[in-house]
Amino acid sequence: MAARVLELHHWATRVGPGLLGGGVFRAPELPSGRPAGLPRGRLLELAGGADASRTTAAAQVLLESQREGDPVAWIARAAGAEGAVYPPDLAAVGLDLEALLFVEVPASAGPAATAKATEVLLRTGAFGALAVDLAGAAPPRGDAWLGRLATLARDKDCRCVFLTGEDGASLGPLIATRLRARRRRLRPGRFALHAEILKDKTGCLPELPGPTRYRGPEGMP
Amino acid sequence: MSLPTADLGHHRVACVDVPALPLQLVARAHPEWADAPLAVVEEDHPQARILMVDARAAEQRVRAGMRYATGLQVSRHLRAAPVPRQTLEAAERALLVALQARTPRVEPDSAMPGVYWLDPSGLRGLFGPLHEWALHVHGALTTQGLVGAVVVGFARLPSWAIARGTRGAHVLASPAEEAERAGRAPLSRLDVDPELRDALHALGVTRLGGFLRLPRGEVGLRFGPAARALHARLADAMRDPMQPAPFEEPLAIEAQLEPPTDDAHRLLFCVKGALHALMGELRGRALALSALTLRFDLEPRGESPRAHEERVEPATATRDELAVLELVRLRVASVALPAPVEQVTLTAEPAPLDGAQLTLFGGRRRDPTEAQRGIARLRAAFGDEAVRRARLANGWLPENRFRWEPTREVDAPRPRGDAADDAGLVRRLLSPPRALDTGSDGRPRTRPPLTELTGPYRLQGGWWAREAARDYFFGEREDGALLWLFRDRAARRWFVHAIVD
Repeated sequence: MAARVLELHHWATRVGPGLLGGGVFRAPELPSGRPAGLPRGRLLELAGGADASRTTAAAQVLLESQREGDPVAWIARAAGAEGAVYPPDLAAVGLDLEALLFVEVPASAGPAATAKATEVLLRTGAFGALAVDLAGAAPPRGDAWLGRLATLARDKDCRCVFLTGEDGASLGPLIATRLRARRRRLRPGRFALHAEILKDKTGCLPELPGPTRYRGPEGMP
Repeated sequence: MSLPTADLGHHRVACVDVPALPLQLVARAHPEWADAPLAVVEEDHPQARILMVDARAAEQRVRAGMRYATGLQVSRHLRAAPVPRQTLEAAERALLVALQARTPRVEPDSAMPGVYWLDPSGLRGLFGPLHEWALHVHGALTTQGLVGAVVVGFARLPSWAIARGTRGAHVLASPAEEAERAGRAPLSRLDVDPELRDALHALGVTRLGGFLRLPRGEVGLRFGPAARALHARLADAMRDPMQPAPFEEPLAIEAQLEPPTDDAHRLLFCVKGALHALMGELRGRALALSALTLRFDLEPRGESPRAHEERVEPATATRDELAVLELVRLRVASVALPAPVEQVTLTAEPAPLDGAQLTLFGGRRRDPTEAQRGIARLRAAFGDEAVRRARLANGWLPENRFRWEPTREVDAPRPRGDAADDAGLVRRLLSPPRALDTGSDGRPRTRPPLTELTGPYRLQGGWWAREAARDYFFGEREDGALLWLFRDRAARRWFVHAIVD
């Protein structure tokens, strides 16, 4: 049932409200225990500052795609001040590391190289989701690259998630959904992830996939 | 059943036996361990399993299957090293090439690593009599720093049985001599399954001759089909025709650039022409391209190097010129050559064309071969190490709990069941850890300052190499950032190791 609802959700977001009676389209109601996730074929942006949990949220998006049977990839520049994602934590989340490709773009390659790597992987159509880690790195100039990626993401039915810092505006007008993922401590060692919608062009309220409660990493009391 | 004593036309075959090749590679790589008992371990770790031991270690009761740490307790002087698959394959390839220089017909035994079958016929004009040729072949082993035997006989397995018990080069005069000497070979030297060997020992059968005198049918009934197959193999009853390994001749083509240039477009145009000729040559040999090495000879300019090499690999062996040229373009675009190029040399690594079955009703929704092509493009653009997979490892320290492995493919995910109710937060690891100042109260100083510090839990390990003792804490900053910090007990310093994100 959940899968059918997801399909409807996805279909509805692509058709748009105009074809559904001309009125305001309301997102289908979803079962309470099963979050909708994020729509496929769109560019998504997860923004956040120091108190954010963008990496955790992106891991959940990748997990959602892996559950749908698709390989996924994590694209990042060579580790800088923000560090590099820690694979044992991704495995603990439930991601299959054999079906998770890591692409490290050399720091010397310039901002456009990350977009280029994303475009190459999108063009293959072999991936269900790509996490593009732009945290701590300047995005390429202009909107042309986003246009290419948006078209490819739609054609190849791929979720393309950009991780960005809190500062500044959205990467561009072609970003369908921009969320700020905030982490809130519930009690020692237990956290909640809250997604604040900064922008949404999908027509229905996007939600972060995955559980609502998180535990701290191993060793956290 | 007896050893074969007659051979039609007395056709000759030679056996080259390099026993315990991995151990020999360890000994060759570590000449300083000449007097120590040696072992091959599966990885460089104290708890790694021992795969192979030499006679000296065996005398001291070190056994294959033990952990290295246990072996070290049994024999204090035990020395061990892993032999990666690539090293072993490279050594086997080097040996094959050396043997192919002595005869064009060399067949590596598929079941017994380090055993090669050679055809010595027709070489008298080059090497003289057979014993001279055998000495040449043995010379190929010694020049590579390997120990082994060369036996020129009449049947494969009997020659090998003799080679197992000897060193140097030997030429057997007649099939009768071969049968007699092979019959004396103890079974303990012939890699016979220990269970079968013990069972035969109980029957008083300790040598090959005795084993081969047993009726094969009875051996099969009593000891099973594997023993029967071994019996037939050792009796040389199942003689396959020799299947010599093909010669791996690199295909190369050179192109001059006049005047020398560092313009990427001109270089690519030059490579395009050369590649076309190279692919034509491959097509003529019914082969495909598995990798292409580009050597750029540079114009002399000060202290700059005279040559630069790049290697590109398509996703699979291909004859698609445009796909290969695209990979070359990506690689050339990412390289800054220090001087103009005078000459380009293209060397192709040939491979048989992959004869995959075409699909009639379309491929999978996510085509893995497309992923391979994309990965090949990324490797060409950013280097072979840029595309990788993470493998979890058993390490004490967080940075050792995984390792990166370059990859050319990505698998379809395997379902892991339903999601846990409370998944963990994900950390971003800083490599190397970022050092922090220590305040007068002994706590780490960050900017903005920490509001809370919880812990510690201690990680301690690496006592066998470089001991590390760390007290890990989680610290929350004023701005909400959650840091994973540790205090290095030896250095008495604080470090940020990860940011919880």
